[in-house]
Amino acid sequence: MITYIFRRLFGLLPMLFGITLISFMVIKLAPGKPVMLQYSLNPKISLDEIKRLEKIEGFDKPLYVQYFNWLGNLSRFNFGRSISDGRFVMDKIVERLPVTLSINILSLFLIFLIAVPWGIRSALKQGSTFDRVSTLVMFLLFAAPTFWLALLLMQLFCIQFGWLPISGITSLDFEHFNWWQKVFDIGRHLFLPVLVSGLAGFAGICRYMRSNMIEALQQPYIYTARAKGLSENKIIYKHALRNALLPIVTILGLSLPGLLGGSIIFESIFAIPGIGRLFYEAAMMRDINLIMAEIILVAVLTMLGNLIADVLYAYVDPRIRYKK
Amino acid sequence: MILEIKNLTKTFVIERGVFKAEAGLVKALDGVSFSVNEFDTLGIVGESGSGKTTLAKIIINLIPATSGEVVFDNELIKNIRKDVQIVFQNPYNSLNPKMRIAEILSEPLLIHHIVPRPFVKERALELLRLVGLDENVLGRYPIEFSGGQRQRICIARALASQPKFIILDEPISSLDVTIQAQMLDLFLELKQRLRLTYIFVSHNLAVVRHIADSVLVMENGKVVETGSREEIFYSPKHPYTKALLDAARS
Repeated sequence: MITYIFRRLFGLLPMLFGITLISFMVIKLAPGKPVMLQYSLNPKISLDEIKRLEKIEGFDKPLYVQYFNWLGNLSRFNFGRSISDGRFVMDKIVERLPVTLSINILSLFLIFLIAVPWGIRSALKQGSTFDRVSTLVMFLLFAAPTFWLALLLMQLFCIQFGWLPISGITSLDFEHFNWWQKVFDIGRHLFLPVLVSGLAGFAGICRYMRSNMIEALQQPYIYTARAKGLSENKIIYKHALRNALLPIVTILGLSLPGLLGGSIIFESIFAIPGIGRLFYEAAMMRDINLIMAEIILVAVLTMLGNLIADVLYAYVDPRIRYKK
Repeated sequence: MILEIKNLTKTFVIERGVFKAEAGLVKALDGVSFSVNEFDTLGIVGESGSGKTTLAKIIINLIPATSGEVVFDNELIKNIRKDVQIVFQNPYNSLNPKMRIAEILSEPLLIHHIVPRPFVKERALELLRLVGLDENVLGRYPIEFSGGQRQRICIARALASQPKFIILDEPISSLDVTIQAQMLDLFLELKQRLRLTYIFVSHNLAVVRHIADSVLVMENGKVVETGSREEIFYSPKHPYTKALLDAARS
């Protein structure tokens, strides 16, 4: 298994190389130059000055030279500096990471802790009022656009009732709070973002779980389990659940990139300084180093997510065994 | 008599549309009555869809009957889940794919307190040897075995709770012809050694003739003829039985 994981990790390198090559070229093809930011507001700037700025950033060299310079830096884990403010790209990402990560981990927990049991219950009471109502609700949640739902919830909880703060992640007087007040304050700010970012996934997992469970319960080995004289609980939670959980594992692995990738839409709506907004701002400023760093982040996570899903699959499913 | 079936009926309702309107009724079993003597093998024959498997599942209480009674001899059968077992037709999907053979076999041993926990593994090995498998089977998953091996595991599993009565629901029809004969011999040998009573469900007349003491012929959920093996095979009365025999001969 260990050798398998290493082999797979090694195989990811060429793919990563391809991803960087294509995205680097595509970004370079986009209209507008990175240094424009520094002179577009300055009418007095001369052509020589622009040339000089480009030379400093290395944008005067041919495209392939620029790419290999960048790749060389990357191999030393140096993502370069942000063109907009000259700070290290790594620092900018690391400072945004905790917010996005905590929102996404919280909502993932929420999803799996509630959606999985909910789906099981729905499957066990298939065709009941509970099942029908929850089916309807899940489809509505799944279909509702996140930004629309976010705005409606903000209207309700933040304006109508005034229970929750409307945006940001801390209050103005955050500095003066004690530890407990700080936790409570962040919790109040994160409540809606976590809820909204979780709802669509919640509905999806719930439906998956329901259909997997219904399918598992119809399998002949469930009859076998019943004939053995097992209690109904054991039949459901041991025999059926073991088989029904398998596809959920894949979803778990595939949700890894989303965990760090952040969401541009709801981070913008809730004014949360997360990775998604950083990406959006970088794109608007043509901050090429920052954009490339984020693309690599998401690409690596997607590939790792797939790998983890495969490995977990092998672990839970005896039918998949990796040999030479 | 170890088992008596009285006027058993099973109706499936076909529902259609959003409001689950009743679209029709399927009579899977229609007034079925018969009895089984201890240490006998009753063969149940009939073509697909004649209600054989439904009957098997009702006898072992996996699905409820619409009306009628299944009466076991209280002296012999005290706990239906322990004393009556079933081997299904398809060994490919009647074993849980996520469980090792050791777990599959030890479950019934533990719930029915057949042996104390420390002896479970030993007992599981005995069961495997009884059906002609060896100990390196224990740590493996069902997927790693052929159909014949899996059916042997299914039989070992059925034997685990030390039943007196086993329903064999088409136990060899999904196996290779070469393995079918071996399995029939295994059933006969186990019956002798463990003093079992069988109901052997099959659509294959030659197989039933080989193993059954008495035979029951079913058509569309009804019993059309019952009798000893000799009566059914040498002097069939009902036209359907004759047709079945003719079809098997050609």
